[in-house]
Amino acid sequence: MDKKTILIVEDEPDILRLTSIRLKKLGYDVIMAIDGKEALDAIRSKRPDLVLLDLILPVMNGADVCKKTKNDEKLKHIPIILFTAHSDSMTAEKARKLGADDYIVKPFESDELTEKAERILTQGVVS
Amino acid sequence: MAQKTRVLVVEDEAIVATDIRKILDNLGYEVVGTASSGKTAIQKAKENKPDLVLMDIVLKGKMDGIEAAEQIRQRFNIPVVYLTAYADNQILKRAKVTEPFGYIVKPFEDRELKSVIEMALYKARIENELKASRASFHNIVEKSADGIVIVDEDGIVQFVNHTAEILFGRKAEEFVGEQFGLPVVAGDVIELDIIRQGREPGIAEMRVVQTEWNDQKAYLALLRDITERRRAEEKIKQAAHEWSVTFDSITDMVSVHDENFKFVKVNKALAETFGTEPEKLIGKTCYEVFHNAKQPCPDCPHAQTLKTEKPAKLELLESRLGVYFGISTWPMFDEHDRVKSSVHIVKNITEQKEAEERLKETMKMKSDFTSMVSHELRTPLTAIKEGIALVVDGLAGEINEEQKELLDISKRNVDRLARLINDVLDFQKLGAGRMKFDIQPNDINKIARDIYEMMVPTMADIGVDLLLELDGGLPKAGFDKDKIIQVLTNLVTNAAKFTEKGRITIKTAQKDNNIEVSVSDTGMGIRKKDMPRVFGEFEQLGHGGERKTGGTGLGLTISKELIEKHNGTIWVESEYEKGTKFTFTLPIHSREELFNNYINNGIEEASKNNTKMSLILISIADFDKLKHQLPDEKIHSTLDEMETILENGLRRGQSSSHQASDAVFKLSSEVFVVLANCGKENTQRVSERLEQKLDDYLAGENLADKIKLLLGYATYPDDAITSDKLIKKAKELRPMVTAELSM
Repeated sequence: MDKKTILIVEDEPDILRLTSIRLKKLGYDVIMAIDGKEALDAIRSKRPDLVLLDLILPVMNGADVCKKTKNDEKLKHIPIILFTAHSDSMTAEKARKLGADDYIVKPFESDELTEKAERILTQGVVS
Repeated sequence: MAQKTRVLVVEDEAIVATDIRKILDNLGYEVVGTASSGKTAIQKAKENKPDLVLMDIVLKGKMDGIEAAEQIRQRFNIPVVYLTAYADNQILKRAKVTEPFGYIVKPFEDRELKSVIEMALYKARIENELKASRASFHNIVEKSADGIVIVDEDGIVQFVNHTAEILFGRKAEEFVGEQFGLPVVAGDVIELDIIRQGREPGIAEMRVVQTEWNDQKAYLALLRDITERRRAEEKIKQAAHEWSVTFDSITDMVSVHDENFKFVKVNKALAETFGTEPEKLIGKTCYEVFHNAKQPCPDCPHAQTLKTEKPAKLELLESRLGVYFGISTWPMFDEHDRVKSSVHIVKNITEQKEAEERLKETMKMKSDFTSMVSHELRTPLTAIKEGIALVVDGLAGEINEEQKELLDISKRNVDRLARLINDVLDFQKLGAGRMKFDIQPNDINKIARDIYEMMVPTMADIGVDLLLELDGGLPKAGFDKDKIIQVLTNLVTNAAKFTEKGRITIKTAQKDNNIEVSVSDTGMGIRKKDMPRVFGEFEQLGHGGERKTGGTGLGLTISKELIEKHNGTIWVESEYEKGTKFTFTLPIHSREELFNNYINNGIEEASKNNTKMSLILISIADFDKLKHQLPDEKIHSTLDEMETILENGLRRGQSSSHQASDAVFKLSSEVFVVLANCGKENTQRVSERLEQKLDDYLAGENLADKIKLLLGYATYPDDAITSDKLIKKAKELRPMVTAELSM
């Protein structure tokens, strides 16, 4: 089976790098984007198997990236996990309303992230 | 027949007496007796009470007729006619002093005697009447509440009644015969200061009329004490003056309007605002003056007050002036207790509004700042955490036990720092009243179960049994799900911190109109002296001064705030070394209450954000009839199922088109769907989809022929702007589209 590709969208280079190291070690192909526009371009051109998307991003914010992806017939199947801050008072419901498949509150446990990613990648999105 | 006049005859000569008696009998008088001496005469007059005494002047004995007559007259008030044989001038002179009623000189004619007697009787009667009339006149004058003074033409006081004595504080003796000292001109009315014996001095009003006194021209002065009346008048005048000054010095615009919206009273501030005088506005209508309009405004608070008889309020931006007005109206009840007018107060609230705006801006800046800071704080934390985790997990090469232990300590403290930041931010938000609450009907048991499932493994790890005791019959309560999850999670983790071994029990129950949730543990308990500090800020109660790491000391403070924001209460019971029990309550609202609150909040939100909100009403047709066809349980379960279908239909089918919260409310025979941020067209689309789902369900249950559904819509602000009217509009039902198609 092919290696799954995960797109990480995060404007903090340190976090971007650390997260990508973990996922690479776990055996995924990782692509990285540092703002919303780059993210959307990457989603469109690379069609990753999963997107880890920070909610607050420069150029175009995460919510817009999420909406644009989910409103695009060709892209809507790509699962998205949102990274949120506690103060965004994100709930599963709100994440779902944005079209995301799951969300994770920063600072998160690395296990939590990898578990969620793995679950979505192996089981696919439950619609 | 009239009674005979009774006569006593006093005559010392027996023959004459007999003769006179005979004559009197013949003349039709009754002789009640005869007396021959003055003494017997008095005696008999006393006993017989005759109408008249015929008295011989010359009598034998010590007492002559004149003296006897005098006594009879004075003591018994009986008229006396003298009989005398000769007219001795000396005797007659004496007799005259006793004011006799007549004389008859012997010898006399019978007819002569009769006329003298009749004359005397007449005179006596007149005199008595006069006396009575005098007495009553005197009575009236003396007892008159007004003072009466009679002054002659020379200004000398002739008479003073008792009231006048009091008013002038002088006795009649000191008055009468003296100069009155005040001008007395007939027809004059003057006011004068008076002494008012026994009271404080006052004012009297004196009216003078012309009269006669002892056949002389005189003046009668009537004095009326008007002190109290004058004082009351002064008070009224003073009050009116004070009120008018107050009314005009009010800087708000104040006016009174009648039921035709016309100004009845206007204060200066109002008139000045419109560059005119108060009097010039009287009679004009408020809508022409205030709004330059030809008819009352649709949301006029004055009209509302006239209708509801209650105060009303309105805030208004007068764009011509660039001024915000706060208008309040108060009902004025007339003597029949009806409201025909209202007090209309207009306040310039521009400054207040601007301050509110500035405050809003400041709050927003603060909120933006907080979210920026929280993001900025968390980002490095995330990086630190992930860096440590990569090393601990061995993804960056192997590490030894000591290195791992050190990194574990770092990791634990990074976690603690993260929690601390979250708690402080929550606490700050609550304090600033910026925490948003999304109150919806929720099932507390489901929440308790979710938390139980989430925490059971962790509890098992530390050797604590987590137990659930749920009251299955609990109704839904209105609360913010996320906040209550936060509270309950906090209580359970808190309990775990202080429980080494044993159990932690989550229990739900209904107490009156509240849902009661408790978390009890078999842990170390809290010392009595520490109990008051349990919910305090930054309090960390430990076992004998030892501090358990990991807490921020804000968890319970935040929990308390969150529960209180739900109008609930939270309290703690504890026994040291036995265990602790935290309990909180949440009020159960009726579905109608929740629904109304929800709509009102929705309207508020929509008006603030300039968005729309829609209602879909799904109602069962002929509900009463249906109750005879299907068992109650079946109807209820069908409605419940419909509610679930609608809920799922909303949340699954829609993705990004729904921003704020939608909700489904099942009432007795109908289900309302509230679509926040949703206009007419969108509502139509959602509704079609929901109809399809409900239709499928009813067909699947073989109920399609029994249960007919009706549908209604309303959108804020297109259809109505109040919740009542929105609901009313939604109740204009029509059959479902799908049902129409299938016919």
